[in-house]
Amino acid sequence: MSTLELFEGELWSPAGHRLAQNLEFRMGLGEVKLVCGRNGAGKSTFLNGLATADNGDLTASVNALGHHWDLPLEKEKKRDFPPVAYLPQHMNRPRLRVCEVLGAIARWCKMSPASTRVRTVLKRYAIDELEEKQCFYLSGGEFQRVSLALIFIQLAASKDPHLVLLDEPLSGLDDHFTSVFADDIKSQNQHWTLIATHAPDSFALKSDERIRIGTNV
Amino acid sequence: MKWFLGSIVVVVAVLASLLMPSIAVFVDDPFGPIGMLRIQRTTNCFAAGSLLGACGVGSQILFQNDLADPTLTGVSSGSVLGAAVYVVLLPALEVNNSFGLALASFVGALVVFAFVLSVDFLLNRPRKSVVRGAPRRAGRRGNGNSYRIILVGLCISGLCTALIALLFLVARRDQLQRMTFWTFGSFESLTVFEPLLLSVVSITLIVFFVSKSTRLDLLALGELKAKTLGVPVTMLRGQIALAIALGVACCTAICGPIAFVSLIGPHVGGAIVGFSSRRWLLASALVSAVLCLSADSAGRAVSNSVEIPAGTLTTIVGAIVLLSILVGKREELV
Repeated sequence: MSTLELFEGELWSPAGHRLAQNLEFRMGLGEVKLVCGRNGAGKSTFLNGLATADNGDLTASVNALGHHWDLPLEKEKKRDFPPVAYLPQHMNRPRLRVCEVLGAIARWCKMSPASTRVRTVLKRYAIDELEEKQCFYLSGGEFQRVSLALIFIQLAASKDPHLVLLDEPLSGLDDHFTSVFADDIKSQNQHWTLIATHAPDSFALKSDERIRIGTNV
Repeated sequence: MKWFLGSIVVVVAVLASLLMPSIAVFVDDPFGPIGMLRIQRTTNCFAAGSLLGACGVGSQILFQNDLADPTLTGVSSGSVLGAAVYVVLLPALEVNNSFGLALASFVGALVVFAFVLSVDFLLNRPRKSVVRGAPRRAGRRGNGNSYRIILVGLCISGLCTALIALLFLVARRDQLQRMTFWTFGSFESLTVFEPLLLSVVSITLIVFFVSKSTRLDLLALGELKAKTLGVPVTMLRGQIALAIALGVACCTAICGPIAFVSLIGPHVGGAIVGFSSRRWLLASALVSAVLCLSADSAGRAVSNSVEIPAGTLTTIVGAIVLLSILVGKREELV
């Protein structure tokens, strides 16, 4: 029941070209899989297709929690699909201050921005010192920390298993925060996590926990 | 403190608008004929300004672009085209009533906006797949992005401008004069209906935007991120676009095209209170209202014989304010 299974996956470019086929994986709650492939193989397209589930980039069959879905999802079936926590490779940098973004996410997830769960995440990623700064003026690494904190706040707000999709989460992070993030990902045990990365060794996972996209890997 | 000082500025601007150009006339009989005209004009000005400010914020959020304003949806040029068609091509209907002109302008704005949306929708249709036998919808989505609707809006605005120029070529001298005067923009109001309508639309629009403020903040993180958080992005963007179109169409129909306010208000409002959508909206609405009130008061006070059109003064004041903001933030722009 708690296994997420994807099979007969095909990846399509927006122009209608097939990027990859016969994609399949199976993972239990708490498992982490790395999505690997050369530049342009379609790692981000794969995560993007899973995140939106209805954009047509990914056609596949998905089983989880006793349900079956065919991607791209029809509108009426979107409600049952597992909730997604998605870190895109390039996220908009708004002119909002960090505390305003955190407040919006917390309100949307029906949490208080001052709650212990939120403050714990902020402390781990040292966001306290950035709260009054505008996202627009943060450095690449600082903004990545904020983006990761948003994901963990979203996960802390709900007990439902999420499909956690992280596209190059380590980009811009220094060694300290890389290890903080790797610890956090390994310690979570109630979500399915897919990470697209060029640095698979940073996570110290076994090789069979990788999904390979493209042939030249 | 910022809000307290802002309130004082708003009160001063309202008083100046009520008392200009001669204080005694209003103080002696505030609810007499002239007093009522001034109250209507001030209300018109305040409501139109705040409406344009809120629409400006809505446009920047909708298009994810700091330089966006409602003119990019083609609404403003549509309303001018509607007014030009009414004045030049339908002289039989024109019995010198401003209601007909306002209605034509409103209809023109909405028709052009619907046209922009239709063209954008057609361009967003899924493309034909190059792979025979590919599953339905596979990799054939349209390229939905905010830049395309900006380009479509600009193209259709250009088309409207060309049509207006053609209409001016065949217009009589008096028709040309009327159109020219209308395009200057004015907050003058002879009936209670206009300020009342603008106030209702303005309050409704601001309440709508404020009620969606959390979603608007999340939309600022990008369409994709907002969508995966569960924000109904397509519906939200449609609602914002419709609200902006209705707001600007109402404002232009009643006051004529008022330039620059919807661009300047959000920039000044954001510089004062930040860009959290709830505070940004309220601040921008107030700043835009003050800008309109100041321009209108100054236009009446500068001379006893001639009134400088408010639309002209808002452009002058707006350009100076925007330049001074840019000078203040020049280090950040390098």
